[in-house]
Amino acid sequence: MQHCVRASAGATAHHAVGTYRCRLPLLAGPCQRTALPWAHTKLPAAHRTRCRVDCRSTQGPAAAPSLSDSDNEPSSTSGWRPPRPPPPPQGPSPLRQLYKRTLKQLSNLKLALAELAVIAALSAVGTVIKQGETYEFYMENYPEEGRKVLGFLTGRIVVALQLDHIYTAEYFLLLLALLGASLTACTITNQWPAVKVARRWRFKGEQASLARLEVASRVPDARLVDVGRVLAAKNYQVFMKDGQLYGFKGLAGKLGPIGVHASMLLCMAGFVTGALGGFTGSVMIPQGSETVVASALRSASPLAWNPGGASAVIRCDDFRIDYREDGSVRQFYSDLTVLDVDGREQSTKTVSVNQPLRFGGVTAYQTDWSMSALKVKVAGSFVAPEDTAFQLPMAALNGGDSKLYATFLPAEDPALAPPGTAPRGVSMLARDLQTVTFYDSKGEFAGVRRLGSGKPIEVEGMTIVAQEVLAATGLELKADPGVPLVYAGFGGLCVTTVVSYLSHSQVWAAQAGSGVIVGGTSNRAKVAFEQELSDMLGEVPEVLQQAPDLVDGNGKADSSNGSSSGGNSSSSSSSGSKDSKEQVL
Amino acid sequence: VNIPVIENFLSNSCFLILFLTTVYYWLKIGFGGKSSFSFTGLTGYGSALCCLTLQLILRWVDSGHFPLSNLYESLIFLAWCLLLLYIYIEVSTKTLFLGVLTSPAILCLVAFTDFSLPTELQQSTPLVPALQSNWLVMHVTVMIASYAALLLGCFIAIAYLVLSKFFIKTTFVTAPLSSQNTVLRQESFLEEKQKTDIVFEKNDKNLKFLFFLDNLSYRTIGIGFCFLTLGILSGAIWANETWGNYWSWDPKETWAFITWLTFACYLHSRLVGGWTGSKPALVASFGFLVVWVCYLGVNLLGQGLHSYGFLN
Repeated sequence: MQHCVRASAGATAHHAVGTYRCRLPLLAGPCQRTALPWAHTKLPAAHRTRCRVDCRSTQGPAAAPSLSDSDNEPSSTSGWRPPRPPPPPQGPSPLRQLYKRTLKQLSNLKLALAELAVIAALSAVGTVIKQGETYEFYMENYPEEGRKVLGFLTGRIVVALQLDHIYTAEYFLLLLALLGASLTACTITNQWPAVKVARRWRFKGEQASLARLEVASRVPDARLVDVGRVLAAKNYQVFMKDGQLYGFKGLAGKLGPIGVHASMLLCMAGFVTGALGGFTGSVMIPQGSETVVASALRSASPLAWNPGGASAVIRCDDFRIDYREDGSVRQFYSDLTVLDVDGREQSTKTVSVNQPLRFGGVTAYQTDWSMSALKVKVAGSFVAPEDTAFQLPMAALNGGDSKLYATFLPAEDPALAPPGTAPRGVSMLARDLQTVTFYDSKGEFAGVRRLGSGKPIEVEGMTIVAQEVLAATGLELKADPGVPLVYAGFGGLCVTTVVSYLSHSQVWAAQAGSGVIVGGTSNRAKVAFEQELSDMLGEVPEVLQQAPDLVDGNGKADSSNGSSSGGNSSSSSSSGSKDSKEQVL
Repeated sequence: VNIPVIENFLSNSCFLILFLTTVYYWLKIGFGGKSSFSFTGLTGYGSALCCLTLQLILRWVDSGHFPLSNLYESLIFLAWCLLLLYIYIEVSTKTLFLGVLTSPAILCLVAFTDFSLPTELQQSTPLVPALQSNWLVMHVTVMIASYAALLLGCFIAIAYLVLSKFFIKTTFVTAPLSSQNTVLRQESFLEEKQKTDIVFEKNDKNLKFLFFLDNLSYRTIGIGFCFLTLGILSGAIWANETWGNYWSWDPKETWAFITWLTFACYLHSRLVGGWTGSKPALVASFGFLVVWVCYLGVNLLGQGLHSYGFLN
């Protein structure tokens, strides 16, 4: 006679047959042998023979519906059919054989590890050797004679091995493609079938197989249902039949890596799409002027398709720089207007460094700026003696990393200067949009003026007021059709990487006499799993003896639970509670 | 309220507290005997964590932007993450031993940050336009957190390698580390045993500890890898929003990618047949160096998109 346990008030009861969830206890009535309504389903004869042969896990009808459904041969009760002739013998075609062999080799883990290592090493080389420099740079820094770098690395070798642009070298890209092929092969051969295998499981009834598990223990004086209840309370999904139990948790952690690989493949697809299908370019638009977007775009490959925004026109209405008190830049702002082919305004936006402008598949980023002209008012120039306004074009000077622009105002008519000599004049230099520095004909420093202050300066017999610098905004234009794919891949990668961290824990148990043998394994969190299992087994209530009329199990069950749960029970305490039980009876 | 003075006081007191905590852990493991969870040690760690938190908050208030814009602030944040991670590990695994290893390491980190870094680098400077974005908070935080987890995990793996040289010499060499069940097989299940014991024999205690270290380093590096993935991807998305280019093979980006590849190798190496215990730990030790190169080494070169306010 078995003990009966009344469902406690707070327990939920999911009775649906064919679902995986099983929240114990969910008795349909008193004194049932096991808790699950489907446990007594008769299996078709075919399955029973199969089970005896190879012990597949078809014993649990709630598991893996694919097994029981697809493997079910329709019973031929519909009538007599003539026996079918045996099919002609045929092996797989050579093409299919080749495909299978390639897949097997590509999905080799050691090959994949080697690929990762080589890609990492080559990437590191690219950070040590400066990329994208001129031929002379490499000749200079990796000399042929004298002390060669590393004893053998000369500029010629660097260029010949494409180490100056290693990230776009063919062998590097081929390696990345090989990695993609390995990922695909791995997903097809190992991981996708693993999804099916992960849904299959089997009970372990024999003590030997339970003992072989990583963590195993015997719980004396316990019932399987109690073990199942404790497991379910810790979010395990539990299945029980015929004195055997299987519970698992964290299956997502087993399937996560498949998602990681699939997301990486999605990212790679996006990279390739962008690399082949995109347009890119940069443009400097002076304040007040406009440019046709298509003139600035270059296609990445002949396969690229035109974005809709290529026919648009961008006009820069204003460009300004927001400076802090110490002279450093706080932010760059460009007021841009997008016009369509016919000149109608489509949109306006103030673009700054982290706020790009998007239109028709093209995105414009604020990445650069320059000075295009300097507006001055000059009195006493050779052109006219009174105040005249000039707009002097500025040119960039290559001086270190900061920007430096200069312009020149001749003090005498250049046509009258002796041939071969430069005319006398004033040089005006500006680093930012705030001040202008003046130099005379001899190159001597003449003075500094703040733009817009109105304060004049006397140089070379002229009175100059520097009013404003007309700047040009530097925009980076990009049309990348691969970005949605890449973002989707990134999102998938973020989620699946975190999910892959979960540990897939499995617990098997079997009733052995008065006690229960429990064993389990966890694929990642092994130490934490041991601790968790130990704690859970500590919560399994100790069952002392079989009492015939414990129908109203609440009072008695609680007292036996109270005396022995929560820790190591020595035999003395269990005998003590046995006495109390006998007294009650 | 003189913020620099308070900051100075906080960084000095953090160093002092960590020093005392280190001494305490060493004394306890040397003379204390039973290695278990230590309330005093955790209090020390907790107060060091509070000092660093206050320091970061003060810097935030002072400069007006999130306190993660230069090397000094990122080092403080790294120490903060390491402390937090260590406290969580000690509380959840109830092991004292790690404190012996990690407290001197964090102490050295804090000492380097506060005393060796030049004072100019310690000042909080206003952000350049490219850093004025909410992505700064997400990307840099997650990257530093990932460095903390990866460094801690690799450090534990190095400890595993060192200790396994000691332990494997003295105990039996042939038993593979993951088969704790060899002991169980010998015992009969029909014997009465204590209900909650997962049984290990006493002379297996060293192997059990090595197994614990191995698994702890695996899990810590695992979580570090998750964060690293998130960090790299958020950096890529941020770069796309700012410059239209999600990957430009900048040295820092490339080294983060190399770090990612190294730890992907580590995580996969456990699946290769026959690689248990020491061989993945060797990969992790190599990964330790890779993380340092990625974090500090690249900035010392001073080129690329990540050279804001470092040794240029």
